Amino acid sequence: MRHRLVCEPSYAAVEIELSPGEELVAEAGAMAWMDDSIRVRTEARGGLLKGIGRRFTGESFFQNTYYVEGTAGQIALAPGVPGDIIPYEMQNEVLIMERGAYLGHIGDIETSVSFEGFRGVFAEGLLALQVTGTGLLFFNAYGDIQEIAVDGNYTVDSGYAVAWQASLDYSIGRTGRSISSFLFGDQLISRYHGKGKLWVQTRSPRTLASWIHPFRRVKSNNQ
Amino acid sequence: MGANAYTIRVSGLAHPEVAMSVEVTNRGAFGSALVMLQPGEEFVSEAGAMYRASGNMDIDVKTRKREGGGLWGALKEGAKAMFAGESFFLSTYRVKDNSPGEVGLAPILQGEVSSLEVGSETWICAGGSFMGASGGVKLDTQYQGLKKGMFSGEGLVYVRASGQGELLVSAYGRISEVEVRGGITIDNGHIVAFTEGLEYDIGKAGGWIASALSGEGLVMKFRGNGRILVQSHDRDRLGGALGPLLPPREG
Amino acid sequence: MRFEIQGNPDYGEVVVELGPNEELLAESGAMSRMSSHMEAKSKRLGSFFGAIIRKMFGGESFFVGRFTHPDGGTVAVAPQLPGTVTHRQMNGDHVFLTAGAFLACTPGVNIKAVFGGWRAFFSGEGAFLIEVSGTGDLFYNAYGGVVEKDVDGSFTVDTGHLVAFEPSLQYSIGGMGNWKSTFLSGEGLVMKFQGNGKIWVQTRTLSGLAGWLTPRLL
Repeated sequence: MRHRLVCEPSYAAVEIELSPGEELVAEAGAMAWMDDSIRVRTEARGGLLKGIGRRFTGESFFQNTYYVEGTAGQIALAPGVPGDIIPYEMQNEVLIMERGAYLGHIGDIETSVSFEGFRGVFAEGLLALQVTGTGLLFFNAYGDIQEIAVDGNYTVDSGYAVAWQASLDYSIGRTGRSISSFLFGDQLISRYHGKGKLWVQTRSPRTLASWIHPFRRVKSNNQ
Repeated sequence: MGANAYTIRVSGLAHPEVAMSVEVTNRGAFGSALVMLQPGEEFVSEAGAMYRASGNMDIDVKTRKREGGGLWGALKEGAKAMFAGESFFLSTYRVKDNSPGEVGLAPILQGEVSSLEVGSETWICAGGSFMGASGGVKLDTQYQGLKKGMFSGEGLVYVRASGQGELLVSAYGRISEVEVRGGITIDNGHIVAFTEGLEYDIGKAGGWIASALSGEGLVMKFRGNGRILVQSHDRDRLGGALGPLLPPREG
Repeated sequence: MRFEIQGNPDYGEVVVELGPNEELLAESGAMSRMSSHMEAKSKRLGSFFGAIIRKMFGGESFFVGRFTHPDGGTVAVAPQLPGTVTHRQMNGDHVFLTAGAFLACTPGVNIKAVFGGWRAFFSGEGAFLIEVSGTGDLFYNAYGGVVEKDVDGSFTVDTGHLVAFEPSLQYSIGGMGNWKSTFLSGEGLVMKFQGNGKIWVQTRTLSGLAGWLTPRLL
């Protein structure tokens, strides 16, 4: 199995060459182009969103497993959002990552969906993915990615946290003391303590979602 | 475009709140700024621009000054302004203890960040371009000094930055600086900031019918001498392409 | 006519210096800045009826901007989505572009909308391809980065990732190979190319961005 990144850093895609017997698991919709010898198998992923009490529209419950039939072949994966791709060698460890950051993996890696945050009236938080095991993991960011070696305390606006090692403790809270920041959910903050790696991206999906709001069509009564 | 990182260090010993160190990084398609503060120093940014900060950073979110309206009026205005792509609130950063701290700022969309010196020039920033400023910069966040005519609207609210210090602007796309000697026409969606003193008219690129057919929007026809920061891409064109592909919203 | 492509690979834009009475044709809304005396006019491409059909199916808009002046001047054009801009010298050859890839050209270049096939309608990028021929300068854009592929046999491209291809290649539009993957894989329809020739692909798609953003909307 060989891989190479193209069009780095901001519009990165990863081209992976699979030999017979190798399998690549990838996020739904991530395949951009591929050779003729590549085949696919679609399955439901583990860790369904039971008991969370909130509907996440647009989430896909399926994952694709790619393999070759006959000769070796190449497949390219591209994320939906502009930004970096990080190929990360996992050595029997646990990473927690933002749901949309997962691109694909090869090897003995399990992924399951979890909800990180506080429930209750506002149910704010992150839909996250727990990634466990050993192998090569591909994850992506919205924007430039910065790796921070946390040793003590570090604060990140929650929308910008991409992935972190499970060895880090963290809590999610709010910033500011004024009532206005509370009512508009200005900044949902993640505070990390301990020692471990934290990957931060320089753009947030939530601010993109509020920016695009006026450009969306309005629901009419007969829909 | 390769990596393009540079550090600007500004110090003003007479006014401690002006002294700080800002590192602007433009890597690939994404720019960001890291502001390093000493105890006693102050930096202001558009609320929501902060994406990372050291544990000892005090972040104070406050509304912009408005006449009348009360808190509820200000909050309603804030909601409207937020959805117009412009945050109503400003955040002020100071360190809580006696050690240095840092705060990372980034724009909403992909694009570059630039640092401008305020002092010998007063800058007018287009809506959505203002990102942050050091304590000695005076911000007029409701600057309506533009000629309105029939084209005024929320999209033409600009921020005037005067005084002394450093101004951070962000763009959608790549920033280029244009030295104006005489005149130039710039599509409204491509303006980041310009120096006060340039004269301008707001109009259509080629007359009403030709512009309606060719899809060209509002342009600013500048006259005189000065500097203009332009951006390579137009946010409205992204919005117009992406918006219809998303599920409809409730009102 | 002189040109310079600035900002590649992330934010490509073309700055064109036109001589007296030389013309540049550019897609709707592409002009970002120009000399203060430069004039923007409009030009209709193709037949009226054909263009209405094209508009219905989400193809390139009917009118393009036309920039010219007796004294010449400068005009800069940028695409709707950020990425790499490519120049191609047309010398009587042909090339196919997808709907959003056309940016600008000089008047000797011919632009014709070609129906891509009924199933292309569901790809989210419009049902039309653009056939480019003639002589002159062509500028086309990609969303994200561009990768050139030399095909000799078969090659599959997710429909949204296609930018351009040579007419020596044949293609068919279909699913992922089995019914479950076609509906559940999230890939939608894909284009299978056969033959010998070059394909240009892009590393991001507008529908991919919409799909990524949808679960995060307010």
